[in-house]
Amino acid sequence: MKNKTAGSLTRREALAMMGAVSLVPWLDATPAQAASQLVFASGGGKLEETYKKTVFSAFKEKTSNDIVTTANEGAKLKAMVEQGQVEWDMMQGPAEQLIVFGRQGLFEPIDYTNIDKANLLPGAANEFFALTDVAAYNIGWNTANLKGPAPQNWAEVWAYDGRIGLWKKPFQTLEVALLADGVAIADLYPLDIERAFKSLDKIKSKIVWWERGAQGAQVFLDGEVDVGAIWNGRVHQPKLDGAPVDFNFNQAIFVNDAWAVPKGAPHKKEAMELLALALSPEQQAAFARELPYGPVNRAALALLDDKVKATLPSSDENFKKGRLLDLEFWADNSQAALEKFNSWLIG
Amino acid sequence: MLKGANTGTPATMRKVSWSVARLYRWMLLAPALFLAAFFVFPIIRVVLRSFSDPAWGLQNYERIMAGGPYLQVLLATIQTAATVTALCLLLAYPVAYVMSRLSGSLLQIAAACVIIPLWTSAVIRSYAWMVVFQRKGILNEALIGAGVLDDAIRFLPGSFAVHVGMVHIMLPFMILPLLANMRAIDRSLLRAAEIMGANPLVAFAKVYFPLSMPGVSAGVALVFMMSLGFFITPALLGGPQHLMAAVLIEQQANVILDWGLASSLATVLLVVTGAMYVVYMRLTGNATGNLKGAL
Repeated sequence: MKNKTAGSLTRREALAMMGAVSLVPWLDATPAQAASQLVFASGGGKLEETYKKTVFSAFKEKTSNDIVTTANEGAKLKAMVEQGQVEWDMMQGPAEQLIVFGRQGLFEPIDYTNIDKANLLPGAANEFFALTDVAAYNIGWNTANLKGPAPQNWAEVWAYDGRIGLWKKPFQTLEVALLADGVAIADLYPLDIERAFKSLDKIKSKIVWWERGAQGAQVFLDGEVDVGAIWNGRVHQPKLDGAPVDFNFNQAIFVNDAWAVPKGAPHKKEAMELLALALSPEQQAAFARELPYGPVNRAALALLDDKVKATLPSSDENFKKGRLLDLEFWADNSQAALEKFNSWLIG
Repeated sequence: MLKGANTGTPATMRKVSWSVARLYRWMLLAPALFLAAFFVFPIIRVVLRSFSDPAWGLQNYERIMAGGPYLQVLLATIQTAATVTALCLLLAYPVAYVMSRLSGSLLQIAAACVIIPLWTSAVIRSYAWMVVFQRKGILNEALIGAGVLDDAIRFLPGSFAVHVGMVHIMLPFMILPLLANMRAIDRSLLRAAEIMGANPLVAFAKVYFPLSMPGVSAGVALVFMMSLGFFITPALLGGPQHLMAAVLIEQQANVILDWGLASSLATVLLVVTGAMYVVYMRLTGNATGNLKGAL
């Protein structure tokens, strides 16, 4: 760090200095505790940036533990747990994936003693993971391409004479296909998969599939598609920046990021502390101010002003427009639905 | 560098050559051990896993055969790889031919043009093609501007876009083996053919083209095998019919975590590739002889 003077120090002096520096956090932290480094596996991008800016920095302040991030590949998780050499302390991922991993025995049970479960969304406190935010798979459109009024429900999206953008996965997409076909949102689950494919058949030639979130946002911004489905967080900022894109939360499917602690994580206790902090009203609110993925802790909403709340899928106003994805359904049916979806794609 | 490979061995070198050759053989030991540890062993584990996860038996293969998307996707993968290989060969052959006759800075410039695209990742190049092909992209705007089109063509996602994208990425892997082979072809043989009365076309067909076959073999094998494993380009540029085997394997390995099925899909792909390679080599002649000439 002090490159210029380091050369003139004796080894002993340098060691003494390093020792003194490493003592500083000790003096600061009230419960004497050695700082450790947690490994957090995430999907990267804006989400990870926001974690760093809010929860991670607050965690560092509180416990003096550092957090480094790495890519959250499911295959790596499974290999590490199988071989008993787990490097990750926490994994973030889409809840519909983590529930599958949890059933395979890849996670530690979550310790909820320091978490106020009463305020969390129903279903947020799962045995092997906790939901941490609420995003929306919602109706979007390119304002420059759109002819006529903006679609107000999925049936209008399906009826649109133009190009329709959808995520190339069965999860979430089969839900909106059923809604477009007239299934009432309250009766959505269990999904009638055959009917969903019949609904997709009707617009097969109009669909432009997008594979990844960044690509999905791009096809809307560039006008490659006219209307379709997109995650709100991907088009929120571009819309504010003046891009020709807009969206609403009508009949949105609400989806969640979740955090889980891999089985045999080296810093299990610290990871549980980190999760408790992330679910606290203050951190949930701070996160939602940065990124329009709403809190799962209802107490956080009281800390947010109306302007922010209007952008969040889990605000009282927006949440009643759509429906939360049924994790249990997908945990039971992922494999079969994916197989059918792939057959349908290629058929 | 390529030129030097062509010059004969001086008599003085011959004496030491056998010991150098033996040394070379020993030098293969380290890479062989490396491959055994990091390639052969994991592949054996994958194959074993396909028969043992979740229980010993053929259940994973039964699932692949039981219908569903798997066989169709495998077929589509082979089809796409074959088309890309054929297009690459068609485009690369004349390029390599012209390059083989260049020398000095012209050759260096041409070689740079072939090699520099390899420095950019396939992901970035696929996104770049998206920009070209999209509805309001450069290509559509240019065609509309020139009055060729009234309304934008839908290139994305589609066969045309995915083939252009994949051929663009694979082209250097076809040109380079062809070039190495063509530079080693003795052109006086062509002159001899013409002296014997062959017109240039016949001389090419009967002399040059057969001599370039080792390069063709190497290039075709390289491009075909690499195309089979393509992932990101078909995902971004291709339509639903370009669902590649690699995408299915990734879904099973990384999202569903059904490693038994993932392993069996990978094993089927490996066996099919191996079988096609053997058949191909039988058809085009002795494999080792050809590769020696090409490399």
